[in-house]
Amino acid sequence: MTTETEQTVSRVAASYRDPSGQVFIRGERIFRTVTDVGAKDYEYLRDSGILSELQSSGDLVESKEVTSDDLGLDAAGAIYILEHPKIDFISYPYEWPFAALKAAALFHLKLQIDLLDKNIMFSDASAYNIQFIGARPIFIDVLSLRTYKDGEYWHGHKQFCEQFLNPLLLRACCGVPHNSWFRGNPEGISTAELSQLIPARHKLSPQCLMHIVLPAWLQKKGNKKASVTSRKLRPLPKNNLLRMLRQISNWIEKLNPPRRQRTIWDDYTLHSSYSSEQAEAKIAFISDFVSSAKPRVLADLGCNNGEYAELALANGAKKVVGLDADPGACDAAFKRACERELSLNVIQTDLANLSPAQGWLGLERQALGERLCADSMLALALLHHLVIGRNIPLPAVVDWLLDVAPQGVIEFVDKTDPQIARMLRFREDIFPGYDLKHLHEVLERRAKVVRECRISQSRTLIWFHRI
Amino acid sequence: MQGFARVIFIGSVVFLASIEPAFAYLDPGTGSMLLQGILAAFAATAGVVWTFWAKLKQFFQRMGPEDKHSRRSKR
Repeated sequence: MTTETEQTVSRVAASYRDPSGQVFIRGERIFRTVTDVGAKDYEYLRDSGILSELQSSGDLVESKEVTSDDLGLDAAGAIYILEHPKIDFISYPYEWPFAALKAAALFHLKLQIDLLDKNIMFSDASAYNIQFIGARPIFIDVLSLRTYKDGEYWHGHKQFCEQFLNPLLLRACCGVPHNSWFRGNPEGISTAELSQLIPARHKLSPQCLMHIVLPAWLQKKGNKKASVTSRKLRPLPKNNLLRMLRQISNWIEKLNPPRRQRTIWDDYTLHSSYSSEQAEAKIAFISDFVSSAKPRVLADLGCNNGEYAELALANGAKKVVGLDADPGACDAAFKRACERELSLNVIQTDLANLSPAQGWLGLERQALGERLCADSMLALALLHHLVIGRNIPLPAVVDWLLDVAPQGVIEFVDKTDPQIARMLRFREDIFPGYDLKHLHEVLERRAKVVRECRISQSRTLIWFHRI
Repeated sequence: MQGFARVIFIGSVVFLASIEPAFAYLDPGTGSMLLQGILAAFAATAGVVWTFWAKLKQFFQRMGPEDKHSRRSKR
């Protein structure tokens, strides 16, 4: 077993853009170097007390200065080395539901507006500078804060639009969730491309004209124009900059998914499959499982509106990561986590297509499967969505579930259930192996069944533990 | 480029002029910088118009009947 000093130090693959410093990992420890480019601004933040004020309010990730011995590597060029606490679960903006991206956008703008009073400006507006602790956003890039120069422009405007505003508008104006597009293009959704799609009735609003249509047009013309007359840059007064930030913030505050759009989940809640006794039996079973397992991190696969995630947290789970493909369900789960201050991170993803490793050299953004280190899991009414809905063989799905966590609860829904009957209405039933007996056979190859409970005619809960 | 569009574009290019050295790695984007150049120009123009308007108001207030009366009574 390597001692701490022997553990290799490696630079975090995504940390290469900023000349003010970079992020390194050694084992479980996170370090950030501050080079001579970023030292002056960092010293100002530290000595003025702004750094500790932001950290004690929980808006900025904590940091402490350490020596290069701690980093254990030749930290040439580093004036300071900071150590940050490790954040439990890292997620990316293309995995966030609409409500979470909106919360992150408003958080970034509010922080920027407050910091301008102290003459601090962010040097960028990357959505990857924000992480979530449960449903609470936190800013993680200390080096993005620097002193404001009178009259300067908001250099982060383009990046803010591409990584916050445009994805939100894609859903609010076009009814399309941002996740797939943003995942395919991790630098964000370009204003020029979005401008092609926004319906005219939204495009003609003053805010869209100012932040989408006009910049897209100016960019196009600006790229064609070869020469630029050389005169002194006209300063943008601070009040005007603040007004622009507040205007965007008020606009985003009012953005919501289209009301007329009902997702699959919205219909699901109207056709709930349980009587009150059945629901109570399910709650009791899951409570027993969680109280016994006491998970550090529980993965709720197919978390719906987060009700069982909340139940798990109330029964001793320290943290829950809820995953679901349905945008409506994810928004509801996020709102629940926000309002009740739950330690629940909500991820909007297709479970049959988790976000992969990508970016430069395929290393910048880590695969979701690698980031999700759960010690327990719930797969409630999930199996049939993957086996029947997506044609993935039952043994393959069970194997994957057993790899996600060593113990958990599976809720098996058999073919007599009205939900599955609806799924097979216009399809041939090519799933002869989809039954409880076969599930047991496959499960018991690698796990033992701790407890089983048939809560209804068509639904059975199975508590398993990997051998 | 047609008349009005040409005015807007040239106006914004003139006001942006030499691109300011970036403070960090970020490419601020031509479109965003030109947009803010327009806002800065409006801010400056609004400032000039406001000052002119305030002076005009002051001028007409000085020429008002109450002022004429008070000047006569001071003599």
